Amino acid sequence: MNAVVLGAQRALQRVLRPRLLAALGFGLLACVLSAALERKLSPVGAVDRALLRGSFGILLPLVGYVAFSRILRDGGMDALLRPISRHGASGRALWIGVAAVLLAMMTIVGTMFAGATVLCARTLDDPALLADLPRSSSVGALAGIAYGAWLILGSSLGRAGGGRKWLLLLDLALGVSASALAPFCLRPHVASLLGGEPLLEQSPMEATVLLVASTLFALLAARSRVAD
Amino acid sequence: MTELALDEIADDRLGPLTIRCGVGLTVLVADQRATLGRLLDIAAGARRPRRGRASLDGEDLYTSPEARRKLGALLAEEALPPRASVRESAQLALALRKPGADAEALLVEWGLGPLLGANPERLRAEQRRAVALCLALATPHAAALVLCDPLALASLLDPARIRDACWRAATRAVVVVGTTALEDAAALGGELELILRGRLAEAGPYARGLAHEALVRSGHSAQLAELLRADPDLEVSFDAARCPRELFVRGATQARICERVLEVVRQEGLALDALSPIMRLGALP
Repeated sequence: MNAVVLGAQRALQRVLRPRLLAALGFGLLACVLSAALERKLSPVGAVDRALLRGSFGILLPLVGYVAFSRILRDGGMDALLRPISRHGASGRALWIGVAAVLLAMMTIVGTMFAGATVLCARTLDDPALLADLPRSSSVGALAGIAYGAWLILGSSLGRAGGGRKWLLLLDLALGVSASALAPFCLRPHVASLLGGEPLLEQSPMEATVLLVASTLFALLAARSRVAD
Repeated sequence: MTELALDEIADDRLGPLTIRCGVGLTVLVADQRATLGRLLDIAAGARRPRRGRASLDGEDLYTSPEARRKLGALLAEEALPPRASVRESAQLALALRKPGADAEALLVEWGLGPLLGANPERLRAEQRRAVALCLALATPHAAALVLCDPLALASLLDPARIRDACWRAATRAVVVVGTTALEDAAALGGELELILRGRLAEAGPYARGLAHEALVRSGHSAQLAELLRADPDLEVSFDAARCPRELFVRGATQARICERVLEVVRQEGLALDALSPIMRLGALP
């Protein structure tokens, strides 16, 4: 059987576990509650606050981290791939299948978090809803892919994939300040695309390009660490 | 000539050590179970060592799927390929090496038929290892087998059959068996390497402290002493009056002493309580 398909099956088997789906469901519920709370506090700017602070400031990275820890059973990518690759399957082909499923999962999570937040932070009769929903969802999808790629890279660093934690902590610590390292983090670009203050006055197009470049860099770096 | 080479391997509390094994049966006897497990994981290409490399005929086992396909392995802790049942899991493992191989017939032949329908993740560790051993021994065109404590599976698989399978494979492939049980090393025979505190007994820093002498404790000490004295390469001290159950054996190397003692014990069917390399504590680093 094709090793890419085997890798995808291996990852899907872990993603479709009830406990993981429940964790993702809780994340979605938290997005909804945070958006509803923001709207109740003040309807003006509720969407921006809910997206920037709750859904994408904390929940997406946190839920992504929890999901990866459950899928990889607190181990690294290698621990997931070795039971198959030791029988002669190509480790890199397996990795492609696993990475594709994990990125797809994070894309769906990002899209749903953004969609649910916008729907709950705006009222249904809000004229801006129709325009905001697809725009925020597409940014959510891009943010999901970007965080997914970083988590995949983090999972291939350290003996038991401990790099995940450090990459997210770096993103949290450096991404909120206007430090020289902020452009290398995901947080300011995602915030800029969601309507937050742009980093170094960059345009949305520049923020998108930087997010895509960061995603590609993380995936290539992660792949280079996988043994065939 | 087929060769399994562990070059300058170093990992947690392991090595650096270099072992080269050719076609035939090599038994690694280690004093620490965790160290042995790590070493065999590396030798099977299932773990990347901190330093050094494991290779089969020059091909790195960790990075080359082709090399791993030619190697069958039983690890200290086994995880079968993820599938709904043992039947499917074993079929997948075999199919990755040789499409069309029949895993069900293989497991039934070894007496593991009742496990076929079970979920591999719900098996006991010993059952998973038993399935993995059957798969390893059935590796098509195997150039090497790396087996961790196969005789410890005696409650599930016939030990005599395991031993025969190892020896049969050893006629054409490199077979490396690791164990911490001297009785198992005695039952298997083959060339012996001793690993003490993660290093080869003859090569690590502890080698300086090792006298080329071993203490043998057995209920058949007198008979054993007599048989070992027949070997011109060994020097045997046995005092029946003072220590009726102990004898001291000197030889060229620790490994050769142990190999010879275990061979005699196996051939004559004698009981062996202990076989311990002797350290001169003052000479230790």
